[in-house]
Amino acid sequence: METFLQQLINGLTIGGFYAVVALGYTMVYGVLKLINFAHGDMFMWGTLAGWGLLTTVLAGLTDMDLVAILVTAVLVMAFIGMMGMTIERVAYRPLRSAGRLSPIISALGAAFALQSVARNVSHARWRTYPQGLLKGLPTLRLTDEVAVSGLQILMLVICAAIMIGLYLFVQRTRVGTAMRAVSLDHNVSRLMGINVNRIISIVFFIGPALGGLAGLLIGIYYGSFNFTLGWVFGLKAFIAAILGGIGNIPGAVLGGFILGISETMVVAYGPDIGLANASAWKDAIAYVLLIAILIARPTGILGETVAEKV
Amino acid sequence: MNQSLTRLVRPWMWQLLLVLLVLALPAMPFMDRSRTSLAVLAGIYVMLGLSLNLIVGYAGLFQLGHAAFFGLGAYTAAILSIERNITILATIPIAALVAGGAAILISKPILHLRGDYLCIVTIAFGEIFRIGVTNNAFGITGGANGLFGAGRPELPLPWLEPVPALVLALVLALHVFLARKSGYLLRWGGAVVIAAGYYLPPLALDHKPLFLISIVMAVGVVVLGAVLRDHKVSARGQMLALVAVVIVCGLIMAAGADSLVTEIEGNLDKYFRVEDPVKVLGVELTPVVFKRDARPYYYLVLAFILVTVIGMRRLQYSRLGRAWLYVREDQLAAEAMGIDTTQVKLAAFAIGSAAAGVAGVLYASRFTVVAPESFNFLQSVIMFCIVVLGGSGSIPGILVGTLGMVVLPELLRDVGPTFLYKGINPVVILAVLLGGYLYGARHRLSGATVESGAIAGAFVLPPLLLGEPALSVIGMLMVLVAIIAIPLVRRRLDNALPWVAGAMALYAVVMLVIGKGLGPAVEREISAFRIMDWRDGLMGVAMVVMMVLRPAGIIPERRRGIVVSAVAEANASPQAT
Amino acid sequence: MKRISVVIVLLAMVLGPFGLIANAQEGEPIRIGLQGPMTGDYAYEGQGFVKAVQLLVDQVNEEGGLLGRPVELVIEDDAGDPTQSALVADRLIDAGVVAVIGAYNSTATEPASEIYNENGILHITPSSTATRLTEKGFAQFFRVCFLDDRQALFAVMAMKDVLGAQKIGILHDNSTYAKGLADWTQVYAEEAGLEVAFFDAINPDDQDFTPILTNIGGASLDAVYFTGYHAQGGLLLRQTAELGLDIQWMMGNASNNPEMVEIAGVDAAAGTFITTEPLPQDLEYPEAVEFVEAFTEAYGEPPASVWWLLAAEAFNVIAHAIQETESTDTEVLAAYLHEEFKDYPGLSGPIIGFDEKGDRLGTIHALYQISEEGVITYYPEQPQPQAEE
Repeated sequence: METFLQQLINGLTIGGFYAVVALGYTMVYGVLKLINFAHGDMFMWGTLAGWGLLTTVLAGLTDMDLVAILVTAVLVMAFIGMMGMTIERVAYRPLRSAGRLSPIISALGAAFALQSVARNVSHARWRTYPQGLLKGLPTLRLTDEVAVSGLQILMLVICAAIMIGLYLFVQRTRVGTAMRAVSLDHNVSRLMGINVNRIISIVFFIGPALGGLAGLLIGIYYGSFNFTLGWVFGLKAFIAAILGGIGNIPGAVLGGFILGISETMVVAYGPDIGLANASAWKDAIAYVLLIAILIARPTGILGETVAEKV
Repeated sequence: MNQSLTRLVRPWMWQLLLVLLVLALPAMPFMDRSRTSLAVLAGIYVMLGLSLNLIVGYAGLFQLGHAAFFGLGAYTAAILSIERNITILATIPIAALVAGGAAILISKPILHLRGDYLCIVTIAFGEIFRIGVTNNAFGITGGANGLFGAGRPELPLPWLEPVPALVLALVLALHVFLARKSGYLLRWGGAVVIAAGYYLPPLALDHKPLFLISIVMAVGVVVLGAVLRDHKVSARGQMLALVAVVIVCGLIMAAGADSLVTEIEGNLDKYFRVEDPVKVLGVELTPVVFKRDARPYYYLVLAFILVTVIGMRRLQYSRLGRAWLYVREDQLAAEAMGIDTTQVKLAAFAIGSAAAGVAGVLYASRFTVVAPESFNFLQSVIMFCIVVLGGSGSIPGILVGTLGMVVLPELLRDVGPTFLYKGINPVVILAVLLGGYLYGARHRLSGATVESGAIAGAFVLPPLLLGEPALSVIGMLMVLVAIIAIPLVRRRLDNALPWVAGAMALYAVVMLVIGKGLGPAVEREISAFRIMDWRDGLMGVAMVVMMVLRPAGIIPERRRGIVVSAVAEANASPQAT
Repeated sequence: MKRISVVIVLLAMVLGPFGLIANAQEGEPIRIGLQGPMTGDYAYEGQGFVKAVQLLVDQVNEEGGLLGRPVELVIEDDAGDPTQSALVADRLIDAGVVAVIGAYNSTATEPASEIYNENGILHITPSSTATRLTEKGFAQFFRVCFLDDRQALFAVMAMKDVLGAQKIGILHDNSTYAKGLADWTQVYAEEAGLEVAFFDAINPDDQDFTPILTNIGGASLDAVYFTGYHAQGGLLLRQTAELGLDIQWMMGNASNNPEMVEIAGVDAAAGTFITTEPLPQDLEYPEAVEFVEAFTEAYGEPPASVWWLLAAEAFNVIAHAIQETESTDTEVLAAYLHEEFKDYPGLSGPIIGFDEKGDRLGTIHALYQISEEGVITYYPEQPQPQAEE
């Protein structure tokens, strides 16, 4: 039971990160019906930018780590958000009426380019965040064996805040309403006086900015990263988005947690049910889960069934 | 391609180039080893592109896990070759069956998914395959190490101990079949000429190895036939061309018989391991096994590509091919017309995957190592890009796609800092001049020639005069700037020529003044720069730029049916879904 | 048809210039190839190869070259990928190399070794330790590193004799090298009577290993041997500490890199054991000391990984063989290395010689521990040396 509890906490932490990154995929898909393959790499750029700031410009501030991290977070979010808007303007907007194959290639191209620059900036090495960031946080002991570190709690709280905030933003504000309208129909939204391009730009600011923030959090939490982070983590987060029903914000969150927890449980209990090497097979099991859910519910768990064009 | 380019070069030039190139293809391996090696790899990717084109291009289905079927073929071939000692080319039908069968099993439950979901499910299958082989699924995949020691191709060649009658009969049958089916060359007359021209000299001269040349030339004739037919050359013209080629070849063979034979036998030893002859059905066959050298593989892959292209074209215009087109353009209408869309899509997946399996066999036999990382998601992405970049659905597009995604990045290895500035490379200058001229001509700008001359001069002169070759790198960057800037200047000025020329002259003067000091610094910077580090990034940028400039691919498929494509365009835009 | 023509012109335009540039140079230097991952995940190691070997090449050239001819290093990047490795091998043959040093990882070495041997080119790998590489009977393939099974045996002895472990775990990352080492460790551990209570792999692409660490923590093991690379090693150590688990880690030689301590943090890394070839700076052989000094002087930091040193070693072996035989003929060189090359004072210790398969004889593994200050230090107590074959 205690191991189970510990594993559940492990799974929740991983799932929280998946969920925040999945939000970016889901928002973009919602308005553009585009799989933004570059999102994973923008997220990795968040980690990279955070590392750059915390080890150079803001290195003097790391004694007061909360201040340093807050400043970094704001700067990273602004930077990655701008990066997202630029990519949309350069690589996606000209292709908006070009069918569905071309934007995918364009997105993959943007991902390659981002990854290449990141590799050269980091000299293809693993990079480490300053040691001991936020080490002062208290640890929550649930039982003798099971503990939740302060960092873990903080991460979960931030993830939850982002999700709730975003949900409220989309549901309650004018811009959010416009976003929902755009995701339903670009042309009608335009007739209703919505500046569709502006809304899409906003989406491409918020999604990547949140991804960048998640990247920074990952850097602080795991302490090290390399340039391939975005590709792997991005793919997983994307699966999470699809699992929950892409285009759907609570769905992305749900998908993230399902994926994180099920991965953890496979590793934890796989050997008990005869799955030797469960850790190595874990990703394959995540994909099988994905396929099973899609076969049973083609639009994901919370996805609405949209009638095919008639 | 844009109109101006085609206007610049006259049709007969294209045709001449084409014929030259077709003739040059078989000679390519004599360039050098590494480029042949690259050509073999590119050939395998062309096969993969062709197979994926069937799924993505013809049937309009998303498939981002194609590497898995490629891998299935490669692993099947390697396992059979290593465990069961089956000669690797004989595993082709089995590999095709395994890959195609797996595709049917896998795609059946997911075909009803909408585009993007299908895309992600195929990614998932690709990843499951990779993880499976990495973890030594069923204990036969060798785990992360992969399998090594797959067999090399082994051809039972009859011409070493010739049975000329049999060869003759086979080739005659092939020619007649091709001629009857698709009007290649002339029918019986052509076959007789070919037979006489190619198969008599080796016999008459009693130099059996010359049959090898005959076989290569026969392939060449088939290609020539296709070219002539496409250019609507008359029957008499075809016959004349054929006879001319055959006579020339016969003469060459007759004249250089001895040296050719020595050459062939020497090469035989270099590229092949000749095994002891075996008797099959009373015919004595000499098995020759490929050595590791790329050259024989080149011809093998070329032959496979030819067969695949012919097969794909025939499929495209078959009943099934037309059904794919219909399903791709409008699934509802297709269904209403009584097409079983699920079966049709399933067929695309199965045939395309089986062809990928065949490519996998070629891969296994070429590299003899089959390891999981050769079949990862990135490989699927590269295949997908080959199809879409070149122009989804178009066969020439696949050539361009392979060039861009596989060949160019490898060629970048040569473009080191040394290439950029060691001496002023005349080829680069030529390319710049040409580029500038074409650029100008495309926009129908007067004075484009002068402009590109000015650009090239500003770029070439300072490094030359100062003896600081490193400066030419700055020059090249400036050319890029100029190409972007000139149209902007033009938009605001009636006569931009003096301004452009003036700017170029100013640049040249500044360079001449500060160049002496700048040169060494630039050289230091450049020598630390390795283009290979930026290869993926350049590829990525190129992908974005290509898609933005030509969303339908570089050489898009020719659309059949106006109404249909109009509907497709409407459907393609996100607003409609 | 026009379209096809366009394709062809494009082809000609792209291929033509490169065709002109090729085959431009033909000179008299002795060319030695260096194949390694200059890009990709292992780029750091490949670039280290270049630094180490180039240093020696420059030294040799300053002293007048080999046999009176200058030495030219031809560097090619295989990105650690078997497909690219085969392409690169063909390129090096075109460049006319006499011998090749490389590749870094076994998967990339494998296809290249076949090509080099068929074309009569001496091939020495500094770092590919997979056992199967030398089992193909190539007469011109050698390695200056030691095989997986040597290190596995050493690790088992270390766990048994030095740590007194009875119940051990083995963790690898599913790469060619790590899996091989893990498999051999399992074999030797069972032979030595240890209980292998845990054997699993991590996915090196992951960032979070807490689930599997929780499992390991629950298995009450005396020692866990991780055979993968240093980046994951560092993450494992860090997350072990964060979970508050008490696991006695021992790492294989791919984790022998100061970066691991950096990733893990000093507190989390302290006390971890490492089995490895001795670190460059711990080698007391004068040749090694001299090399480390020269390297530090040239690049401002000592060589970070033992593989860099071994790449330099491979070059020295080639240069020595060329000088002794006064020949650049591969068969002569290979025969010399197989038969007459004995007791050479190598950078990584004396090279007793090569066996008939081309493997280096002897072993030089040592046990290290990460100190409280985070420095990888020689552990005073070493397992008893195993009997030589």
